[in-house]
Amino acid sequence: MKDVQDLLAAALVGTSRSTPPVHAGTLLSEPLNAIQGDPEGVLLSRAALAGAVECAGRRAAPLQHDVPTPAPVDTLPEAPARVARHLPIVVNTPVVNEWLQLCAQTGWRIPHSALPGLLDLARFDTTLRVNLRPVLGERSMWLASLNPDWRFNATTFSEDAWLTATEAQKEGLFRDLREKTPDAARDLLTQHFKTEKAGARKRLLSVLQDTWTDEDATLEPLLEDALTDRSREVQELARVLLQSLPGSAYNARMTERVAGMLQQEKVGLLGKLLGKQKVSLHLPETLDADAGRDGLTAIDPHKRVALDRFRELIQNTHPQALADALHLTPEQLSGLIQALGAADQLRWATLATRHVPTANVLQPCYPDDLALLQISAPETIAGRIGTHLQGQPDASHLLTLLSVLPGAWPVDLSEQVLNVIHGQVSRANQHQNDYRWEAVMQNAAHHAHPHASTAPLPPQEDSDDYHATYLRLRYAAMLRLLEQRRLMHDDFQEARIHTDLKGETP
Amino acid sequence: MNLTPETILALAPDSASASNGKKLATPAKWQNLNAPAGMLWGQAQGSGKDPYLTGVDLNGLVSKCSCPSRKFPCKHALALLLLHITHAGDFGQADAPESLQTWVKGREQRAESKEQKTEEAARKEVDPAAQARRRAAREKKVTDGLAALDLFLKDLVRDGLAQARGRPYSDWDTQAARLVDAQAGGAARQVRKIPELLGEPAALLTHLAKLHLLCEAWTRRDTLTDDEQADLRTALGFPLSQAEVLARPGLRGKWLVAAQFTEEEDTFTTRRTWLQQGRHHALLLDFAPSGRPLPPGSPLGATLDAEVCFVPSATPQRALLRGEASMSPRSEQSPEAFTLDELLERHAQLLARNPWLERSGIYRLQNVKIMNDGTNWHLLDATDRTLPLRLIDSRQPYLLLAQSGGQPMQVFGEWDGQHLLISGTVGTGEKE
Repeated sequence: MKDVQDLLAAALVGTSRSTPPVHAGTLLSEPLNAIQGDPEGVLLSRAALAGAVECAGRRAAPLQHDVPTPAPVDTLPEAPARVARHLPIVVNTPVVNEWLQLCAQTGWRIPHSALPGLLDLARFDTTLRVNLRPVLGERSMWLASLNPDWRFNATTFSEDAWLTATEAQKEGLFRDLREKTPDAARDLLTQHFKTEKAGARKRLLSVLQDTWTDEDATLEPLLEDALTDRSREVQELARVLLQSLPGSAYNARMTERVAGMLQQEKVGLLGKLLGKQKVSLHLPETLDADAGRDGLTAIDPHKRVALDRFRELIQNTHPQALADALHLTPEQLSGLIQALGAADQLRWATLATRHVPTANVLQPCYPDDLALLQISAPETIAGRIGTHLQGQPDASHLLTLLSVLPGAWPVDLSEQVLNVIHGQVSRANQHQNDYRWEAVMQNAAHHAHPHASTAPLPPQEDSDDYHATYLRLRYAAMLRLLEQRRLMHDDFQEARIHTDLKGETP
Repeated sequence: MNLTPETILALAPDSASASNGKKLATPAKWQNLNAPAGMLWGQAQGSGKDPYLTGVDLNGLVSKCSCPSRKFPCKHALALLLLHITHAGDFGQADAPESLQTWVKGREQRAESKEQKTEEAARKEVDPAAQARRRAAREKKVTDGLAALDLFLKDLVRDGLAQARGRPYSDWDTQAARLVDAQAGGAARQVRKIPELLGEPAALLTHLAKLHLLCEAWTRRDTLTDDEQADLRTALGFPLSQAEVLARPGLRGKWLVAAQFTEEEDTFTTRRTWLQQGRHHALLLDFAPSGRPLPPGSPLGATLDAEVCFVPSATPQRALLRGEASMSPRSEQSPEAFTLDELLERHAQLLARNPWLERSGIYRLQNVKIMNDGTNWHLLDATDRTLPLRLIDSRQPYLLLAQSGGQPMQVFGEWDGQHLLISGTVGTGEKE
């Protein structure tokens, strides 16, 4: 507005160096010029009038930018109010992951109004991200396209998006594609892997390693090619992936080398009678043609130690492939390898391939190995915990064992743990008090089966004993959280039945 | 009344109470849950040995709790209200313990005696001579303070606004402090805003011109109508006489709690609650010192059966409630809807009557969308016109987008001459 600009120019310079402007050619010229008095007062009064007119005469601006297209219709049904009512209570607590998993199992999505809060939390919580993905729905993708902070969720794959993406974005796109359409992800890898930079190739194989499934066996030719990749890191990743495929040509070559090193020795009469076998290691004179691409180190002619080569082979071969090639059971294989001095290498191979039968066999040899226990069958872990709960359990060790138990605890084990906790809390006093049980209670509150029966606390004998009172309060808090989780599970169950009855099966 | 979790959480004195209230809103944390007529009560296990006894009087949503918290409503009361929505089936019908019943009866008696006292205060004989002396003394103080302010403003313009940025902060602070001493707190508040505008010469000139207008108007106040004088006094920060306002005739009806905005100022928190009934809108203001909880408010979206008394003004807006408001079923009659240009037109009309008007009211805007131009958020109406938005927080636009999915929706907006502050609801707002 010209009048305001003229007044502003005069005001910036100051009336000591200029005079108020004479207004002409505008609707306000006459009333503005009519204001008289000292120059400063005139300028301020005119500015007041012109400013008020400018403010009052404002018009809404015409649209000058593209309006985002509305969000696509969600394909998943929204979680019913009966289960959604728990969300505001559990958000920002560890129980939110359990809610999301239950929601995913029933095939519902989270209510739209909860999206911004959860997406904000997921920016810094990768566990939450993983649990959120199946229940976000199309609207979250649409929202993520509008908010850069939520781009981790805006992973809509397209050829153009792939070509223009950074290495980190390619990793995100590939990870998302692996979750949603694994076949398309495998096709993408086959199509683009060779043309990608080393950094991207490494990231893609890392994603493959994190999300490996049996169906990925079709990628063996690609991984075989990657054994001669220009990048050492890519070669190493390809080897690890091929090792986890028991039927791969890589494992066949490795087992052939292992079999070639084993030689049957003659045993004496007594040995024959007892059915004993004696096996020794024999180092071949030269390396086979594929040894280099399979990652085997050259043999030092001055230090030709057969055991070193044997250990290297065991560590880099799938235990199941070894057992099949040598026609041995996991127990027999373990016994043979231990006898030959490569037990640790078998353990590493078991951990790398997460081979449960061998892990179960190796358990007694490595009783304190949590990593090995973690890949054992859940029943094995539960058995170990059950054994520990007999007698006088130690809170720290119990916590350690509970930490490797995957998912929610079985009902019977939950009840065992809760009974032990109850006993500890009932006996707690200032002379016999172990605060580590508070951590066990917290663990039980979040992981015990929600339908496990719990015992209420008996009345406290000495009400002035602070230690006992404190542990009892923690126990009461644990019971309340278990009750909250039980309600949540029951509501999911009821809501599921209700939607099934209405014929709204997700 | 139809309460929702959002409206209940809007009652929370702070975000921590809202968050803790949500965490407590599960039956597992309560030993007793009951909803006899007109109230809710329950017992929640806290960190103490005995459970806390919590009661909520549904008539006015006022709470009482035996917990040591000094916040009102406390997290237990918020949780009890949330539970009543989410787990209504878990509530029994048992009568409240005697302590809560006594409290509810006491509230009723106090409400009655408050009305009586208000009437008595209205009837009370005042000494007109003493009142006139007090008023004259105050007006002299304000006159002197505003004269000094006008001199200061003219000095600024004489030196040139380009020099204003070089002035020490104490210049503005001292000027504001003098106005506080002169009992013109409203003018002092406007002077404290000057440093924020030093980087925007056009806005600075407009702001200084408004202050000058305030000084000019005060010197010519005898030429103004009573309502215009009331607006001038309000702008200068003269205190409100609640008794005088409540002595005026009120407007009774079903008022929709259309929007609620809470803002932190320098030393206090202000909550603006907008009520709407047809073409009328009323602004309820609540204040609390920083860090202290605001008094209990009305839940957003609720319908109140209340009598509203307006503060004298050429553009009646600020109001007080006579007596206690009670919750009422949602009214069938929706408030009048505006396009953005109609909103600006209405704003212009009101500004012509009261140039110191900070906000021209609350407007129901239907079939609107929110959009971002790459830098700022705007509201777009059905006529493809836009106005800039001022956000309550960074999550607000995304929450509205999440709920609406980019489809047209209805919001209630407050226009301050520069930006729209909105409180949104999903749905176009059109009558089906």
